[in-house]
Amino acid sequence: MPIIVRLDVLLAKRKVKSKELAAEIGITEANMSLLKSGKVKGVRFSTLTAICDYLDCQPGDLLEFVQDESDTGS
Amino acid sequence: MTTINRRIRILKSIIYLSIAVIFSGQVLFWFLPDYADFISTSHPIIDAHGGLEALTPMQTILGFLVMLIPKIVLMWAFVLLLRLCNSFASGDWFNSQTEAFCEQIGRWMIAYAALAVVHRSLLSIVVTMNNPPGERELTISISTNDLMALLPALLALIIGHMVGIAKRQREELNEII
Repeated sequence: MPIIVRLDVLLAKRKVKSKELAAEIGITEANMSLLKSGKVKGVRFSTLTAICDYLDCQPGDLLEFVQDESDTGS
Repeated sequence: MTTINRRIRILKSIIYLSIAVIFSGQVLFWFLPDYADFISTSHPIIDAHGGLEALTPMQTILGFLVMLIPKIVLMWAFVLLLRLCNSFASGDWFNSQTEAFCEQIGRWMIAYAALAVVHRSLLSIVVTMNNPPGERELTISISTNDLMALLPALLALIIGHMVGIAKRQREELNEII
């Protein structure tokens, strides 16, 4: 997946625990773990809004696009 | 008890009653003389050959079995509908089991529609089996009622397909946080 989730980095910077964020934005710890590892098909705007609001960041701070070399054919 | 559970319970009662009526009706019509007229009027081939009274015990038993086959298929479709109701009662509407039940009900109802046509042909053979050569009959007929049986069958198959699509969409939604 060329989209990398940087949530764990941001959590470390803000010194916030996954459990605390999960409780705050209203998702389960299991889903938070999946989100951190990038093993999800998508993120709802409402979830993204809640995370950005709590961590005081932009969506771009959480997600990063990395060009997949196998896709470019180079 | 929630409204949906109450409705499912009523539906299950109707299904149990239907199964009992299908089976007991079959036995009553064939083996109780008071009800023999019903079989004769609903199956002209029997009426044309002197009614149920004119059949030998072997022909009566064979006739009963021939008529029982589509009824068994119909009863099995009702049993599958019962299982579907139990699945709905647990609150899980879109899963592999529900999809499979809908598709099985559809297939068994198609079998019932096909057997409804075949059983009349078999009945004509049974009724005339003791006739001398040249007077035995094989009738093939299709009625509007036979085609009507295809309607719930196709509906069940389509609903099964829709449940499958809904299940896959729900699985995909579950992967969106």
